[in-house]
Amino acid sequence: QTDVYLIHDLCWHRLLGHFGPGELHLGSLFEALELLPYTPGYSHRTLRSNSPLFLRTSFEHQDIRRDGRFALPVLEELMRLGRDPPPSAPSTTRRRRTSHRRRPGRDGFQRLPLEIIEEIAILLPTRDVLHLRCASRGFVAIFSSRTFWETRFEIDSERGFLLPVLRNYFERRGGRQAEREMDWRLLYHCTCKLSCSWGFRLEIGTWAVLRWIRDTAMALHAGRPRPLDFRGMGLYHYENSLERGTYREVVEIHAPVRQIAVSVMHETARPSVTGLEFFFEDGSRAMLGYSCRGAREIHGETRWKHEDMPNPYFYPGVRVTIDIENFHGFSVGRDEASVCGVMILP
Amino acid sequence: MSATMLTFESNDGVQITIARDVAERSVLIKNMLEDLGDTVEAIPIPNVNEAVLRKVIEWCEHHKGDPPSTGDDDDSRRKTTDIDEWDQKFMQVDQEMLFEIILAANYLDIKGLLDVGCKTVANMIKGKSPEEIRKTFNIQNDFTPEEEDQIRRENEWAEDR
Repeated sequence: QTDVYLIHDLCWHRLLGHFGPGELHLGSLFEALELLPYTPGYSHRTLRSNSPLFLRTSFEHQDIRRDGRFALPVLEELMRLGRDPPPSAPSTTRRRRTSHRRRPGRDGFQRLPLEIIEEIAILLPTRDVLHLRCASRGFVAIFSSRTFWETRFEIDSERGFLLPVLRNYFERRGGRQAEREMDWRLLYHCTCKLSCSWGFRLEIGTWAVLRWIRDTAMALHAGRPRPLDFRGMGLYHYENSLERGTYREVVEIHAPVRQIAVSVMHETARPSVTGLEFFFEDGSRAMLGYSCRGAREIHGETRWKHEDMPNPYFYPGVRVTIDIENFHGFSVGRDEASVCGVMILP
Repeated sequence: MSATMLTFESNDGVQITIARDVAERSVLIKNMLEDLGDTVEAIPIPNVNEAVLRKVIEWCEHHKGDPPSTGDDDDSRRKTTDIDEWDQKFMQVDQEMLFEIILAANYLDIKGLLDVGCKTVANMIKGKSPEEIRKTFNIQNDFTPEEEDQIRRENEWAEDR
């Protein structure tokens, strides 16, 4: 049990930025902070002084720090690889116009004017909105809605982590005018895959944690189910973007997790994690990646690696099963080519 | 002295009398009354039928004490899809009615009710595949293969897939 949280001025203001007027209740904020998993490996790994990412940065800290943030990319850099959207086919454009008008039809959405379609879309993650486009004619036009795409960049929306980057850009480009000219849809497209400097990665991680604290505090206050205790990590709908060269596998945590099995094999330069298997309380299981048949089974945190033992990771590798009391999420360590470690958060 | 009771007529010709402060949850009617001054005649609501009008009035009755919406965009900036319990129950209607309520709230300019309607629809959509959405809303797939292809390409572009 914690007695008191001391928060830096700067951190406090960044946290406040995520709360709207009347949304901050100190009691539930305290409870949310209590649920924040302790993740020694997280900040540690990012800033560890022997990390190659760290050493390659030749700047002094003072030079790359701005308003309490480390080096961030400039907007032009993020948009450099953007492609144009596919040309619109004449048939869909024509229908788009008529779909705004109220007319009876089987599809209820077609009766709604575009403003209401936008209202609904704004409340949803982008993935859901894109699914809607495939399902209903009424939503096809949302693709061209500037209002909709702009909301993706609000602080508690998917690309909220870009706010400081955008602020810098608008400052440089003379404010309002640049804001009006911003192609939000193109920017969304350009920021689905990101090349991250460690500073930018840290910025995104921090944003996700703050958003998680806000979402958790608000859920606690309203007595609703709260997001998983992941401090934002692993909640893929949070940003709906990926680091370039990585891919994402999704597992739905639909019931309490009772066991996790980690499969490790030494195939290339060093051992890497090949699979994660989740065992839920209701008896179901989910697998990410793979585990080799015949892998050495190990249960629990046995001290099994003795010096005189040959490398146990060679084919077919090992599969370590760990019992979980309270699953708060996990942190994944990776190098250039593989997942090199998994830490289950206590 | 303004009248405390007002009469409205739905588009199917039914007259309903309600208190003025309830009616003024609708910005359209509030503005209309300001222009009109006192009126004893029934005010026609051309776009809304009786069943929907009664439902809308029920909502306005329950929410007549709410602070007026500020019109400030800031409160809608941080979106959540939370709906309070009473509103959730209120919105447990068939889909035809749900869409009618949304359209009526939009026409009558009742922001609170419009928000609740949109949130209800959004919550019905969350996390569903296109096929599941079609099932939920009884939508028939009437896209041509070319249209489907166009939408798919646009979606893939948006997410850079």
